[in-house]
Amino acid sequence: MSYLDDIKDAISDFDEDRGRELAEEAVDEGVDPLDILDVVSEELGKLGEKFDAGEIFLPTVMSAADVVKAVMDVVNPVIEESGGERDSEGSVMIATVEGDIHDIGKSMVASMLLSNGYDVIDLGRDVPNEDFLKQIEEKMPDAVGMSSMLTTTMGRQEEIVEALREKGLKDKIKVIVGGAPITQSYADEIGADGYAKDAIEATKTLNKILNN
Amino acid sequence: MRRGIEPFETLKVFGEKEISEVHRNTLRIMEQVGLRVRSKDILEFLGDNGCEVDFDEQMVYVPSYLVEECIDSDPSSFRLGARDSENDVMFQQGRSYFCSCSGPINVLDQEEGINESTKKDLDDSVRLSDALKNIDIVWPQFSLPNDPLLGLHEMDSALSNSTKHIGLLNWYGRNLVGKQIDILREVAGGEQELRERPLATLYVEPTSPLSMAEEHAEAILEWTDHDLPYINFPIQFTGSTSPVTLAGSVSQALAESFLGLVIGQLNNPGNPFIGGVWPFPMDLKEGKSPYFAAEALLIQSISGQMADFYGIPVFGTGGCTNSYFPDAQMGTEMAMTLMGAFYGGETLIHDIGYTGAGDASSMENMVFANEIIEIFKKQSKGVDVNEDTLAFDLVKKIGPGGDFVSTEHTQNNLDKIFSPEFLKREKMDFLRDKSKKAMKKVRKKMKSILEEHEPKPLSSSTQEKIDQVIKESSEFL
Repeated sequence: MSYLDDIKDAISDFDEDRGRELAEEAVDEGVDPLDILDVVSEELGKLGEKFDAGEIFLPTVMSAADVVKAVMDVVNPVIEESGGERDSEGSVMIATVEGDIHDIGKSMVASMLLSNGYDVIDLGRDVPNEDFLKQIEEKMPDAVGMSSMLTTTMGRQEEIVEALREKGLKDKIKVIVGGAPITQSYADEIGADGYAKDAIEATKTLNKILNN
Repeated sequence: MRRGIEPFETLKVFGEKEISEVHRNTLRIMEQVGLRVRSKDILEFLGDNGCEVDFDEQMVYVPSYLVEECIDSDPSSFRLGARDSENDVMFQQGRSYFCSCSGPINVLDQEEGINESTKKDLDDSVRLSDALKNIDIVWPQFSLPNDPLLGLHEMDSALSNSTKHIGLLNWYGRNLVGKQIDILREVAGGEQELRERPLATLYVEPTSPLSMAEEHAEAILEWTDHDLPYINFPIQFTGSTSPVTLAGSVSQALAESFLGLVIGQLNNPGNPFIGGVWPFPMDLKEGKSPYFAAEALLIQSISGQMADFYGIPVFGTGGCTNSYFPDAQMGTEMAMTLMGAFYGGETLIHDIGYTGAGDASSMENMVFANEIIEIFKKQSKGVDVNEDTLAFDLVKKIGPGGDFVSTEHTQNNLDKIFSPEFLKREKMDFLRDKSKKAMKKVRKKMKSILEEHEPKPLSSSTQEKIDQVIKESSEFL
């Protein structure tokens, strides 16, 4: 069995540690990191399709995504170091806004985006506006995703959009928003480029606004 | 005085052994796993009162004996005050009370579709709950999107459009909760009056798994400084923010709810408290959070059994639906969730009116649920067995081939058989008359209530003071 097959097995066994170890060993043994990336993306992509078709459950996709994330954390820096180019639908920075500690919806979106070929930078939850903006300026992702679950925190989304506008970044970075109280009309009102009601729609919306 | 209704018997999913295993598991989670409280002040308070605290990790570990003490000091019955004392509630674990949902920012109407809620919708929903006799506690059914003074505006709406006890979602930390209490004191007529007949119950929510935000922890301290009743209710989505197995999910939820109990009881032993657990697992096929699930009745019943075991009233969940239409799905889900909550033995049954799995709320559904509750009332009376009800002599007298319609016995007992207002048999021919559909009649009733019902307003001086407090509160934003 090759490393690539073993990594596939680690994904289907949801074994994050094994995935990480195998990736490290494979890189050490000279396996092309781009090949590793191809394999894990393909595996996750297949699961994403099955989920869309209602054939498998969400926890399956999220558990597999955890392994893929662990593998990517090993191989991505190696690829970057060697100046290699990898296929990606684009990069997305995602967070639950300041004052809001709801995590699960945002994490689902992150997993689904990952399974659809995006590079995902997940900043976590309750991310202060200041930190969020600093990270955006530093990493310059293609898109920013914001989640808020409370009517009292949805205003942070508007503040971030406004700050992007002031910094002259609004045209360079697409913004997509979601969360229980968020609607398409709110997204329009604050000037977000897209809105998604759930994790599946998030990928579709992002594909659309990034012209993928 | 409102006294609630008690089913003739409650559902029992657990035996004594299961109850005590879940209880032990709950204590073990609180003591060994601990809970995260995102507030230095609250952690200090808990540390000073016997809990083990880790300030770096913002964790509290509550020793079992302390949880048991708080369970013991918590009252199983208390009085909830109302602007009109006729509407005061003798609130008691073992009986059920009903109220609308709260929180959605959309109004769903059979004819007008979905629209974002306005202050007028809040006011209308409160007037409607005020008018419906089986609704014991009034909450504004909707929220206002992106309104930083939401908690005060909701309170104003509830107090000025109803004379019943009101429920409120917590949006704030200490400062603005203090302003809410200022308003309540004004309406009650003084601090002592407010303590004796508290006009409002506050809903706070831990964040599953095992965390509590600073504003909620602070609100509990502030609220219990004034003997005011509060709810601490977790939304532990089974399978996503709590274990997929119900026993583990409920244990974790109880631990989350009891964190609120502990904060309140340590601050003010004997303070009224309402616990509870969320009954709808995450839909793991689609990753969605529903407002109906097959497991609901099981969890509602466990919640009721644990409430009985602890002697602590619980917040329940019923009358809600995933559907956006007045259709079979809506009717099934509303009725099944209400039955699970009531026959499961939950105390304060909230969430009536939620449609589209929480996206919106329907005022029509309040009117419809009012009739379902009326049916529970009828059922709660059970069946009497005595000489008169066995009616042997009557059966003997009428005998084979006769009828019982025009007998004196039937005449004397007409009130024994329930007459529905909406769930009727309407004989129709092949051109079925849609205006006679139950939900069309429900809508007509809702319209007429909103046109006619005018609860006693607040005095103009009280209303002015409320407006003044809300104005002052802007400075805390």
